[in-house]
Amino acid sequence: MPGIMGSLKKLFIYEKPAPYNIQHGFELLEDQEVGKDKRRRTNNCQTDNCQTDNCQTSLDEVSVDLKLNLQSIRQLFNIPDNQDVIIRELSIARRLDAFLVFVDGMADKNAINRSILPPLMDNRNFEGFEGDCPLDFIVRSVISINQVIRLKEYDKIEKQILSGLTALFIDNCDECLIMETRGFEKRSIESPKTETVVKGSQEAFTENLRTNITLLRRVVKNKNLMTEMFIVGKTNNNNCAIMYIDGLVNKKLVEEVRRRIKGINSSFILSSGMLEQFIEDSPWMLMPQVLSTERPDRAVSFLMAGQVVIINDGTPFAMAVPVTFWTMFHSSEDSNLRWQYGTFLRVIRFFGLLLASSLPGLYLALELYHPEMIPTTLLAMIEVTRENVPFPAVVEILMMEVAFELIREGGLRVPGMIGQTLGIIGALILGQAAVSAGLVSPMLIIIVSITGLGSFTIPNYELGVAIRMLRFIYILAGSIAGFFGISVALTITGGLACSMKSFGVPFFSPVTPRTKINHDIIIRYPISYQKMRADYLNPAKAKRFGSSPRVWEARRTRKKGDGSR
Amino acid sequence: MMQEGKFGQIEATWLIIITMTAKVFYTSPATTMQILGTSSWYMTLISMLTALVGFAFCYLLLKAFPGKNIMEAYDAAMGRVFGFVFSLMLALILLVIIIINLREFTDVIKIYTYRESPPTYILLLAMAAVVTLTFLGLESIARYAKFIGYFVAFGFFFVVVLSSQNYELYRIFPIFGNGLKATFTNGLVRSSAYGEVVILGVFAGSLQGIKHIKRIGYISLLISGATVSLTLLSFTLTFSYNTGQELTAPIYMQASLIEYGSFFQRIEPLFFFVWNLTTLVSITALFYTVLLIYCHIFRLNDKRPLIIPFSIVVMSLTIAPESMLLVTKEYEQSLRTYGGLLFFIPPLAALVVAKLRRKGVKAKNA
Repeated sequence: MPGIMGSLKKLFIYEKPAPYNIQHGFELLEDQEVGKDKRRRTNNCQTDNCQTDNCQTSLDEVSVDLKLNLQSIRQLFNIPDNQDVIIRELSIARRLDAFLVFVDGMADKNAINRSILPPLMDNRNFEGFEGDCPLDFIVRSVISINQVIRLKEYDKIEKQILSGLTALFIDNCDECLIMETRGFEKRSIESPKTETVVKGSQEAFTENLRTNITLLRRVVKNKNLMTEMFIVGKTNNNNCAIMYIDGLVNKKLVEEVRRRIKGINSSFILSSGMLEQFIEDSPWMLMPQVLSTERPDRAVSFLMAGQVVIINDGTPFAMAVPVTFWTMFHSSEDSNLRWQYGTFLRVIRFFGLLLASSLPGLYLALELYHPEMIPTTLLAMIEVTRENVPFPAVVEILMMEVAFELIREGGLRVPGMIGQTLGIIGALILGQAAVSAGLVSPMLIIIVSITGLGSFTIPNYELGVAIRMLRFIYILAGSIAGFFGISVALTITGGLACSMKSFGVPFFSPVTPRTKINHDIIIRYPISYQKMRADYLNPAKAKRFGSSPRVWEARRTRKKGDGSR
Repeated sequence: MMQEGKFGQIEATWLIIITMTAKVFYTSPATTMQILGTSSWYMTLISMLTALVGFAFCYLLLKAFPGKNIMEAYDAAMGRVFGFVFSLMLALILLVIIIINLREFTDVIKIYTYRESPPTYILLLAMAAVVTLTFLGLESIARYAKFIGYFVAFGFFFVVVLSSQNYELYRIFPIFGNGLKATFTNGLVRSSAYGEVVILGVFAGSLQGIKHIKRIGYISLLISGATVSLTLLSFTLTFSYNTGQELTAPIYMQASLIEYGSFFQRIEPLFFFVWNLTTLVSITALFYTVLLIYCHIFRLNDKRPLIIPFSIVVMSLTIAPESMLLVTKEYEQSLRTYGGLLFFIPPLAALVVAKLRRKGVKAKNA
């Protein structure tokens, strides 16, 4: 009672309001103080990393005064707040002050403990050294690390330390040594999960950039295989590599890839998927414009075709640019199989793609607008099974398609075998139950199942998603105007796809626009007939091999000719 | 501002072929059968040959003014005022073709399939595709034409070959139809059926040189002539003279007669795709051309803001005629009678004037 009275009283008596956060609990709003601080930091330091007011004292380059360097490193990495960055002070040969900086967990402690600290601290290793700065001497005679570089600029040093390398600062030296000590945990190479093949390599990329580059280098043992490293994401400083074969790739393409990657102004790029969205030509288009693969052998085939491969640290996928619709439609297995089998599989896949995109829409159009095309017996059967279904055909088909997509998505998110079981059991039970309950007709279950099977044949995940989305567009088009509606939707989507480009290459090349074909679009010629590289890539070397790649055959023919004479 | 872009010979050839042949799916075969009887299939070859000569004038004019499109060539040859009139005339005749084709298409598919739908509904859907493609630009239109070209060609030959079960050789006789004179005269007059080839002159800037224009123009005319002739021959072999002239959509009807066993029959809805796609591409190509000419004659740099208003104008003009009969009997007949003159005489006139006024490359060299 007093509580109610008190509340009523409060309605009429003025009280000083409680602070906002007491009234409403915690809310993450932009605070004026924080705003001020942000502005001040930006004005003074021009960097996100500086958090103190005396940051103006931080250096751009390594100083000969070790204390200043130490202070700068502390400011740079917010030590002691940031406890991941380790500073190890030491005396080199018991006379020169120095310190090591590395990131705990990123650097290999064994390498530091065995190959850096003991030789530096042993004064016998410095016999014969005279002078102030022993950097050269250390590199040549003391430490046993395979890769050491000298750096002056703090922004470069910072990125190297964050990548797992160790920096050595020495008193009286205006440079520091950056030593290769990367040794963080990483996943081992496993078999591909999304691009499985029967006949072909069973290796997939991992999250480690170096491992991925090595996987490619192991296959392409060519001195012209170039790797250029970039740092993307201004805050997370992620490493990204572009790879190409010099002398084979079109130089303009490499320049364009470089230009786009350097031109990314984003604070955070986590994965190749994010990078892809920053460098693609048309973000509003439905179709993918960059091809992602988890297979090193496929990435190698792109390199050999004159494409550029982009690998982002932290993602088990490599991206290839430029790509066309037909490249996405190919699988690495096509080349591993004889041409007849490869062609057959491609035709099956193409048929699957057509079914996946248009079958439900065509069925709907047939049933609603063009029943005359359905043979009478079949039409009668369809109508009988639909008799008890309470929904219009379009609702029925949308319901089943959405259910199918749910099962598919659910199956992907549930781990391992349970996911697969969920998919199969879910589809069986749901389909059977829906038919028994009279919610959908059996014919529709068949249509949706065939469509689903068709969509599984699409080898590229992104293209598969785009086709699934297109399917809904064609369903709606078929429901509003039958075949005419689908024709209109096809014209709009087809026109949009024809206007698309991937790094300057039209999406449907070499079909439209027509360029010289290399007999590897849908029908694949025998491998010895695929003499040319794709013309739309304008590679520096257009020929894959000489006029007679089967030299042994030519020799045998010549010998036979000689014998007959 | 929209970019017209560049495209290759093959894309351009497909675009022109589709633009010229789309009309064969409407009432044209029935009309020609009405006028000429059984000789329409080779009458169209005479029209095509006449159009080849007409296109030669256009080509010579463009050759005299290299790097210029046909509107610029008119301006250069005849001065701004007459150039304006000639270009406007071309735009108007193309606009009339758009209206006739669109109206015939709308009414025919309404009659055969969408009986309940109002014509504006069909028109709206068609214009949605046309407007989208126009926004994408000429390069995309040409690429899309090439993309669907294979499917369209396959669908067309599919119908022609499968219809062979209904062919009767006697239907081709009398081979001279209503007389050789009538066939020849109509062949000359009806050259406007291939008049759309002059849009190549409008797109000249997007093609790679005058030699390409010549090759594209001649090849397109020859292939279109052969295709239309084959269609008319197939139609003549399928329907008797009396029946054929009564049909609103003869090729559609021809497709509906295909029957191989009890299961493979009534495939006309599949043919429907061929029909729809060719019509949409053809209308888009003409729509874009008219827009391009309009922008040129009024010196407008950006076509984009005009697309939607222009599509509304086209829709309004399409539904304005009282009936389809009026469109086919009056408009189309007038177009076929005078169209050839409007398509091919202005380039000839401009060429003659250019010679007289010593304009153009040769005159300068001389």
